[in-house]
Amino acid sequence: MALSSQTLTVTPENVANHLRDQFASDPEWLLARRREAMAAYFALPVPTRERTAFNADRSGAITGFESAPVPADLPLPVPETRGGVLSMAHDRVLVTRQPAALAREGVILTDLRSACRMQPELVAPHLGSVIDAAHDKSQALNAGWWHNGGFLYVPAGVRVADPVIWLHYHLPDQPGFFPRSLIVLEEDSEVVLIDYYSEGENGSAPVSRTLAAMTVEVKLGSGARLHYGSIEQLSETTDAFVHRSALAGAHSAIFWNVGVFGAGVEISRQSTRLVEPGAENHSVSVFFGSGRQHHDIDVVSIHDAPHTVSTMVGKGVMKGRAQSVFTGITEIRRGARGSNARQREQTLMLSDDARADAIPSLLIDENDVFAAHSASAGPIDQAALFYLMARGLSEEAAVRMIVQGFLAPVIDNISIDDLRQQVWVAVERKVSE
Amino acid sequence: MATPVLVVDDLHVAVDGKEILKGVNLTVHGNEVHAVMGPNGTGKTSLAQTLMGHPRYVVTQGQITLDGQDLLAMRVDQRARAGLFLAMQYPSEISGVTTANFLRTAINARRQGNAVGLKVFRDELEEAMDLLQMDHQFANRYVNEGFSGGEKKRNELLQLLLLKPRIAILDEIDSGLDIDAVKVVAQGLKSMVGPEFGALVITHYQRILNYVRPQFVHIMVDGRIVKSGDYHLAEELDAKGYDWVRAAETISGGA
Ligand SMILES: Nc1ncnc2c1ncn2[C@@H]1O[C@H](COP(=O)(O)OP(=O)(O)OP(=O)(O)O)[C@@H](O)[C@H]1O
Ligand SMILES: [Mg+2]
Repeated sequence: MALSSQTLTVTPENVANHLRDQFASDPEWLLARRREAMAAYFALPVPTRERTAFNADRSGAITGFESAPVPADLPLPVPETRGGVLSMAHDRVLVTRQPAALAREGVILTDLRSACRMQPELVAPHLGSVIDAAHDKSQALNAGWWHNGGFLYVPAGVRVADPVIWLHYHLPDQPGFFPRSLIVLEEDSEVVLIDYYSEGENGSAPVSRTLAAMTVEVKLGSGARLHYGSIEQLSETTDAFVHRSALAGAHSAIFWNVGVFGAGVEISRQSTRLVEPGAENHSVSVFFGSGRQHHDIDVVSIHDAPHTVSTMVGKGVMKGRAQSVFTGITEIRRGARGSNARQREQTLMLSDDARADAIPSLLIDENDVFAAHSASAGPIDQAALFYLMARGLSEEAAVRMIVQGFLAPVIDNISIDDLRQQVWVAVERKVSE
Repeated sequence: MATPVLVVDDLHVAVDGKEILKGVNLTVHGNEVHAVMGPNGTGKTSLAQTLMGHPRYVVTQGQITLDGQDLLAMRVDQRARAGLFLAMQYPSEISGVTTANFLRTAINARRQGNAVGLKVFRDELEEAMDLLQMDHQFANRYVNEGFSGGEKKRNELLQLLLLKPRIAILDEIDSGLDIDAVKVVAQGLKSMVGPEFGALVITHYQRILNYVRPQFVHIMVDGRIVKSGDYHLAEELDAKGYDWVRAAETISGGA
C-alpha cells in the first residue's frame, strides 16, 4: 500500500473513500467492517472515567488522520528468543519469524492484516467478536482504523514451549497509533505470549501529541491456557486507550501480566468473561507513573458460569505529580454457583503531589460464591526511609529499595522469565527517572 | 585509623516546638562503653535519634561532632557512612526486601563502588549470625517482617556486626530479649569494642551492663544528664531507684 505523508480530514461523507485508500490491500469483508465501525464512530461518546480528565476536544473530534510513510528497513531491536517473533511499526511488518516446528504443528503467527487476507475463515469469525466496536469512540476508532497487529492461532492440543514475542513500535512522527491483535487458542492448547508496546526511533522529530487506541482480543477454547504478558512504554506525549478482552471457555485459564509504565494519560480496560464452567482468570497489573502521567486502569472479571475462578492483583507506584486510579471489578452473575473471586489492590505514593486511588468493586448476583477483596493506598513509610538511611543508603537508594520491596512479591511471581526481567528493567528506569 | 570520638556539646532539641533535650554534654571515645539510664520519657531516645539525624528532632542549640566533623551538617546517610550506627528501639519492617539483600546493599553503600564479594559477604553474614545464635534462615526473610520483638533486636545487632561502625548507639537493645539472648547480644557487642569502636548503650536494666561493663554510666532526667559515674552508679541506681537521683539533684540545685 502506498503511503505518503498526508493529513486526512475524515467526515462521515468521505470516510469510506479514505478507508479504501488507506487499507487498499484489505479484503472486502474487512473493509466493510471498517466502514461500519467508522460510520458509528462520529456519534459515539468519548470514553470517560469518573476520576480522569481526558481532553475530549482532542479525542472527541478526531477527524484528522495523518500518516507518514514507514520505511521497510527500520533497524529496530528484535529480541533473542527461540520462540516466534513479530515486530511491527504501525502498518509496516518489520520481522515475522515463525519457528519451523510451530508451523508444522499448525500454529499460525503472522500479522493480523495478512491473516485477514490469507486465513479469513480463521480470522473473520473471531475478529471483533470479543470487543464491541460500538461501545465508544476509542473502540470504534480502533475497529475502523487499526493499522495492523498480531495474529496468533494455536490448534487444539498444541503446546508452545518458548514465548512468542510481539513488538509494536510507535514511531515519533506518527500522531496516531492503532494496533489491534487477535489470539485464538483452540481446545487444550497452551502458549506464552509477550506483547510489547514501545517507542521506536526512526530519526524523525516527534509530533507534539499522539493518540493511541490499542486493542487485544483473546478467545480460549476449553482447557486452553494463555500466559499473556505485556509492557507498555509509550512516550508521555501519547494519550492511550487500551482495551484487552478475553472470552474463556470451559476449564480454560488466562494469566494476564500487564505492566503500564508509559503514556501521558492512559485509560485502559482489561475484561475477561468466564463464560463456561471452571474457567479461570488470573490477572496481575503493575503500573508506575511519574511526572504528570495519569493511569486509569479498570480490570474486570465477569463470572458467567459455575465454578469459575478469578484472582486480580493491582500494584502501583506513583511519583512526582503522577496519578492513578485502579478499579478492580468482579462481577458474579446469577447461576455462577461455586465461583471464587479475589482481588487485591495496593498502591504506593512517593511524593506528596502523587495520587493513587485503589477501588475494589464487587457486583454479586449469586449466593453460593466466595468473594474477597482488599485495597490500600499509602505514602512511603517515613520510618522505613529513616531506617534505611541510618544504615548508609542515600535517600534515592532507600526509596529504590522500598519500591523494589513493595513490587517484588508481585513481579518475582511472574512466571515468564523474560517478562519478569523486563518489568524490573522498566521499574528501575522509572525509579531513577 | 585514629580512634573515634563522638562529642555532644550543650545539645538542645525540640520536637513539635517542645524542648525535650535541655543541654546534653557527652563524649564517647573508641574503646569506651557508656551507658545512659533514666526514667521513661526523659529524652534518651530523643538523644539517640537526634545523633542519627531524624528530621523530627530539631536542634535548637549546641553541637555534635564525630571525629571532629560537624554531624549536624550531614544527612542521615552521610552520618551512617561516617561511622555512626543507631540500633533502634523500634526497628522498621521493610516488606519485600530480604535481610541479606538489605545488609549487602548497606555494606556496599559505605564501600563507595568497591562492592563486597558475594562469598565474602555470605561468610561474614553466617559468622555473625552464628555469634548471635540466629538461624541462617533469617537472611532470606524480609527485613524485620514478622520478626518477634527479640528477633528484631538481634537483627539490629547483626547489622552492627556487619556494618562495623565507629560509634554505635544502642537504644534499649536489651528490651524484649530473654535472659539468654541478653547475654548473647551483650557478648556480640563486646566483641566489637576496641580502639576503633565505642558504644553508647541506652538501657533500663542492670543485666546487660553486667555483661558489657561500661566504664561510664550517665543518668538522664528531664532532658539533661544529671549524674555521671562509673559502673557502680548503675548498681547504686538499681538499689535505690530514680527518686534518689531526683532528690540529689534537688539538693544540689540542679545539674
Ligand atoms: N514526636 C513527638 N511528639 C511529641 N512529643 C514527643 C515526640 N517524641 C518524643 N516526645 C516526647 O519527648 C519526651 C522524651 O521522649 P523519649 O522517647 O526521648 O524518651 P525516652 O527517655 O527514650 O523514654 P523511654 O524510656 O520510655 O524509651 C517524652 O515526653 C515524649 O513524649
Ligand atoms: Mg526510649
